[in-house]
Amino acid sequence: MGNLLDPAVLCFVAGLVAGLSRSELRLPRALYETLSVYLLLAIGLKGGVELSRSSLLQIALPLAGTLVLGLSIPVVAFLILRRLGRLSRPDSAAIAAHYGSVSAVTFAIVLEYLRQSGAVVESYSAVMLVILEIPAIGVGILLAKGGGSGPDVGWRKIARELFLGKSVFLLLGGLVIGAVATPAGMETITPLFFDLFKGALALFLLEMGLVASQRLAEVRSVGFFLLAFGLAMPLISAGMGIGVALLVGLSPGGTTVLATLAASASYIAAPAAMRIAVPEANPALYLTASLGITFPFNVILGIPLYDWASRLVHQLGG
Amino acid sequence: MSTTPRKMLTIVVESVLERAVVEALQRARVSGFTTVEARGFGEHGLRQGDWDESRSVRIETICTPETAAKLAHGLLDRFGKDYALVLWLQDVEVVRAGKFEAAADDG
Repeated sequence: MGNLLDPAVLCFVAGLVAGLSRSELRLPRALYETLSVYLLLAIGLKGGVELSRSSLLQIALPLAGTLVLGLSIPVVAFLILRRLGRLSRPDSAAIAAHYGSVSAVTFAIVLEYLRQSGAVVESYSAVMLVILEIPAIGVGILLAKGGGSGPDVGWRKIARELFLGKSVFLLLGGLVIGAVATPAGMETITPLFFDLFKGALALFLLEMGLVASQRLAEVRSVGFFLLAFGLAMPLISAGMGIGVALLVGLSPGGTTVLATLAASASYIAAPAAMRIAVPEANPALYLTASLGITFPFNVILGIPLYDWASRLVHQLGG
Repeated sequence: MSTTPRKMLTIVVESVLERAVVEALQRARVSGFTTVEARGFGEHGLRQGDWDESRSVRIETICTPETAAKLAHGLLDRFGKDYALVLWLQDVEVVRAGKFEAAADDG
């Protein structure tokens, strides 16, 4: 459980404590925005540099598996929310979209976690992040409309929101830049984008702790079922992620990454898209579940747990 | 100083709809509008503006009573049910009425 003593994770806990104890601490909004742009671009750049070292043949199967994972998690989540939780169709679909989509910050934390433990991770893991970001949102919208009888969805507007939205645009942009830029050129931006990354992540997590604490305070109003769902769903999707990782032959490190990606829930791309595409869904439900429950769970306990499980299945498999 | 009566329409709405509201204003050919970021409390809870999803904007435009009423109805029909949206109208006396009639007659 070394994750608990990681300074970035401790910063997150500090933010949670500050928020829950109603501390005066508030970071300027511009800082949050700057840091989120920085982190998304840095994650993309890093992924792009590594991607330039792998071949298409090598990545086709894992990426196809990742796509299947992104399409199936929201369906599983939807069925649980609808059948067990008896939530309305729009609410179930919107929450399901969040759990199928991913959190780039959780991805960054798991990569740091694995780097410290010395594990090797597939070079195309950032592409898995990008692939998981969007399809689940489409599935969520389809589930919300329930067979096309609903009002016009406005797919063009939603596609615009998704592909030109902050997170996907920066991740994809970073991937392309990192993949095509010369190594000598990349070296000139290494101090800012790679060396300072972990410190910036810690600062960002302090702010995320503050934001998550506000959502956590609302858990009482969303009910016990959603709390249980926010803790159980990441375990179910992490299990699915491990299954897919084994099928497509990922390394133990890659398995941990895919499990964490599967377990993470979106809080940048999905909320914006759902608010426009499924306005009748209650944002308090999906934001509280994703940001107030699942994000803290993954950051503090989930990642070490998924890593342990990944190592275990790889040991058992020989 | 001569003044002319007009209506001021104030729209407080979650930021995700800013673009849609601005497009509606432009379609109604208002001569201008002013947008500021807003924080506050209402039916949709505390909107603190510290996070993408809890951000609101306050958009104000001055136009003829007919345009203002049409805009208000249109926005309520489209967004009133599901979104954090508050609208109100005020009587105002504008100076330099010409400034508020830019494209009003073209549509």
